[in-house]
Amino acid sequence: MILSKTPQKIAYIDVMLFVYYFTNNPKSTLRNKALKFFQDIKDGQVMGIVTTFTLIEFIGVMKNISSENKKINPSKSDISRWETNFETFIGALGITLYDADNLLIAQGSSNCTFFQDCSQIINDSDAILGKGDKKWHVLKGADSIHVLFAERLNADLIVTNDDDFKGIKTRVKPCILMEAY
Amino acid sequence: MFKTSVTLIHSINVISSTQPSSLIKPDFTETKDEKKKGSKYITPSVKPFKLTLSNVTKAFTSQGDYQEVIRLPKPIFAYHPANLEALEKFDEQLSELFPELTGISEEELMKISRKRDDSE
Repeated sequence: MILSKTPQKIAYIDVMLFVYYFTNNPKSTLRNKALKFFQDIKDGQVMGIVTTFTLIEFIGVMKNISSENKKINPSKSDISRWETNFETFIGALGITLYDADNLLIAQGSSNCTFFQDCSQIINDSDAILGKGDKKWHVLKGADSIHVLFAERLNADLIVTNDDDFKGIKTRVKPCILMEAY
Repeated sequence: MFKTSVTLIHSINVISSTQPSSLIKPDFTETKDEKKKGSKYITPSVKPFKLTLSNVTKAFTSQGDYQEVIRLPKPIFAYHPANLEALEKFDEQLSELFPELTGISEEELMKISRKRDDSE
């Protein structure tokens, strides 16, 4: 396959897509759809971006899974291994990693209005009634941080499987894994 | 001469595309000083662009017809085309890299997602 040197879309990637892919379970629909998304990145169709906040969330999810399965507190070497392997993966796929601390102040601004902007994103978003689960989905605090990072990184899409993102009213558009792939 | 050529390339992009958002892409023509400051992205104008003599002249004499130049912080890992066999190589080693996740079922994944969602 010929690689495109300039991907047409910039996609901010939700941490759960990495978790889905890393499960390596070929019977899992979520895993197979995450694999298709990462194949798009590999083929140069999409430029993937993440921040150090994504890495923090990944470690959080891994600690949760590991402690529940093994019934012990994960060791520092486990955490270090997860960080290294995660960074190796994004490095191999050419996924851009930004320091979240550098995104707290908006471009061209001298004041930090980060949480004020997050609040605006939540206030502007709609509550969406899920078609399948018949539950109301609303954008929450940590979600709004990701949306703002995506905005400040000039992303076109947030790729996620979380229906809470469906109601965002920003320039960045949600791309729901189960619907798009 | 170098900068003039760069501007012309941007102008051709604007003329040839009907999807302005698809033009958002890294500008690899930045100087060393600009690289220190961070990556540069240029967003195209959304107003219709006609190929006229004045527009072509403008492209040669200015930065072209763009709304703004967006400066992003320098990334920790910069974008590059993926390694050709990156996914295949990872597929083979995933059970060694993340044994905690190996074989987790679809239901368990959904439960993890919901738990994470509820905790936010």
